[in-house]
Formats: sequence, structure tokens, C-alpha cells
Amino acid sequence: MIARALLGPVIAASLLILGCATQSEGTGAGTGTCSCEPSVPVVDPTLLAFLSKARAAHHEADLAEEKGDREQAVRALLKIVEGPRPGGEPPSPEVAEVIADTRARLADLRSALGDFERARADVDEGLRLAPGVTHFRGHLVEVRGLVEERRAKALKEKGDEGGAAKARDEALKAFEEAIEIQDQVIAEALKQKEKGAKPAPP
Amino acid sequence: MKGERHLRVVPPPPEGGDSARKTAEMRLNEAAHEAWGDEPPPTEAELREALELERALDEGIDPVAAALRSAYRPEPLDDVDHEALLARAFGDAGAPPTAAEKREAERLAGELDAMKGRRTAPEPKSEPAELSEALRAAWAPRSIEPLKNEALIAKALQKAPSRGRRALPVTMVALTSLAAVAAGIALFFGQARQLEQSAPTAAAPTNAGASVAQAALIRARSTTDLFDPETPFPRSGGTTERIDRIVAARSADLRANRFASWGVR
Repeated sequence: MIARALLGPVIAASLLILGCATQSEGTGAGTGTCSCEPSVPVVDPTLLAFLSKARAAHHEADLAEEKGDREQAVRALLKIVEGPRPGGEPPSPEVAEVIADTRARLADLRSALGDFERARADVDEGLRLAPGVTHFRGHLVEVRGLVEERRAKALKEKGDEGGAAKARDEALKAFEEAIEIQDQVIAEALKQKEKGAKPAPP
Repeated sequence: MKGERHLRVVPPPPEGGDSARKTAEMRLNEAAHEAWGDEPPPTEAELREALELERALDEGIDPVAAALRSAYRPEPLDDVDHEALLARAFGDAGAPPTAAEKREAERLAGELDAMKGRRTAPEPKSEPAELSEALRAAWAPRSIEPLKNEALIAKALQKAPSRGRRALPVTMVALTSLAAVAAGIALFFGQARQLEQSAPTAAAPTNAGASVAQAALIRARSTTDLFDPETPFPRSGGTTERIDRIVAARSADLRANRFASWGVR
């Protein structure tokens, strides 16, 4: 009885420790994280694979846009946002920012195609991934203004003056918010620069 | 035993009553004292071994004695034996056996005949006879007598623990488990120490709970430091260039992490 009582906990403890010890070994360059400690993702081959895929998709979208095929460009970019994301949920910072930037481009393309609802959804999803005061967030808010500006134009052409005015207001509001975010980013950068230039206290 | 012992024929005790037996025992003791002196009398095993040696010497089959005798006083070979040995030396595998070989063969045949059908403990045998018995037992083992089988089973059961069935002894389980835990800890800290020694700190220092290996590697982080904070992104376009820059920077980070994990500075 004593042996059986000891066997379970001790084997469990052994496996836990061995699991922690071997996990980093099994991820190639010693990267990855262990569930036994706070999640600290490192730059690893998986992250690079995702970034390389994103780069290829954006270049594919460039070529499609050069041909004037925006729909193909959208399809290329959807491979990034709908594919697997390293780091799980929330994704690692690089993944989140690349997807947020891709969402901004998707919103631009879709709004140019007249698909304003999906364009707004792209912007909202991008903003969810870029909550901090960064140029990524500022860019997304600016694209939201761009989407609403195009919507206003489209509605005006359809004769929907009310809808167009409302979209125009949304666009103005978004542009102002974008400027505000960009101002904060610039101010923060200047503050950091000033802090770095100051002589060290005696 | 000191010095050499010589075997002597001890006269048998005379027949008669108690007085005669006592007299015989006294004579035996005197004879033993005369024979062995102050040494203790030989044991039964020693006597048996001596008799066996005496028999081997008489029959001329003791290998050491035969070799010594042949070296000291070589006997002439029979013509038949001589021819047989010569033929064998020239490669004739079908040469007839020598007289000594025939004697050995006859002795082996006698031992094998004596062993046939015997189920009791064997008596001392020659080496070829033992080999022959082992081969026979391996090729066609005899069945065990029922009574002997029962005795073996009873003996085996007697040795088994009387308490209830237990998968593993407590001590063995505890020691094995402790060894596994110790191996895990050693592996864990050994790997961490190796990374700490081989890789320069390329990232911010970690807190006390973070792994040393993690601290030595470049972490995933925001890419904002790759772009000029004073220049906002253009309203449209430029995304591909940004992604290119991010990939280039993180490729360098991955390369550094690989070098760190390999211990290259």
C-alpha cells in the first residue's frame, strides 16, 4: 500500500521535472516556453516562419495590385490573418503587429472594392491586436477614416446624403483620433530622446 | 597438512566382544598416531580423493602422472599406434584409433551405460562423460519424477513470501523514484548551466523565477523600435516594406539565438 501511495506522486513529480528539462531541448534553438514558468516567448524558427510567410503574402499582394487585381491581393493577405498564429492567444508581439498591419491593408483594399462592412471589421480586429499607443494603432485608425471617407463618397454617389454625411463625420472623427495617437507616439519618442540625451546625475 | 601423507593399509578390527573391539580401536588409534603423527586424521573427502588418485595411477589415466612417466621413461609405441599417428599427422582423418584412445572410448562407453536409466545423484565422472550427459539433457531432457516435481514445487512455494501479493518492494519503488527525480533535476540544471555559460545575455535580465536558458535568448517583442517614431506610417502603402524590415531584424535575432544555444559567442 505504501509503495502504491508513493508511486503516483513521485512519478508525477519526476515527469513534470523531466518535461520542463526536455522541452527547451526539443524546440531546436532552445527556444519556446515551458508551462512551469511565466510565458516568455523568444525569437524562434516558428516565429520566423510566420514572418516569412507574411512577407511572401504581402509581396504577392503587391504584384496583384500592380496588375489591378485587388481581389487577388485580398486573397493573398487572408492567408496571413486566417492561418495559424505562433504564440497562441494572445499572439507574440511581432505576430500581433504584423496581423494588425495586414488588417489595415485589407481594410484599404476592401474599402476600395466597396466592401465597407468587411473593411470596418478588419479595422476593428486590427485595433484589438494593437491596443497600445503605437503607429500601428494610429495607422489603423487612420485607415478607418479612409474607409469611412470612401463610404461617404459611395453613398453620395448613390444619392444617400444622410448616410454620406454620417460616414463623413465618422471619417473626420477617425482622422482626428489618428492624429492624436500619432501625436502621443511622437511626444513619447521625443521624451525618450530627451531622457537619453540628458547627462547622468552626479 | 604438513609434509606428505602416505596411505597405509590399516588391518581390520578382529571379531569378538567388547574387549576385542576396544583392543581393535586402541590399535587403530595407535596406527593412526603412527601414520599421521601430531597431524589431524584425514577427512573422508581427502580419503576419497586419495583413493581416486590411486585408482587413476594404477590404471595409468591420470594425465599429470602419465605425462611425467612418458617424459621420464617413454614406452615404445606399438606399430599399429605408430602407423595410426603418422597417418593422422599426414591428414588422414580416417586413421584407426590408438590403444590409449580405445581405452578412453571404452571407459566413456561404460560410464554412459551406467548413466543410462539412472535417476539418482550422479557419481563423479570423467569430463567427456559429463559433456555427453549435458548434451543429452539438452537434446532430449528426461521427465521429472512426480515426487521430485512435487518436492521442487513445495520448496519453491516455501521460499515465496507468505504475505499478500506486492507488485514492487517499497524500498525499490522509493529508490527508483528518487533516482528519476534526481536525474530530472540534474538534467534541468545542467542544461540551464550550459546555456548560461555559452550564450551572452542578449535580452533584458529576468526575474528570479525565470529560466536561465530563457534569459540568455532574445525574446519576442514589439517591432516599434524598428520604425522612426517621429514619422507616422503613410496612409496607404508601405506595408510590405515594413514587413521586410521586421523579417530582416528577427532573422538576425534568430541567428543570435541559435549561436547562443550552440555556445558560440
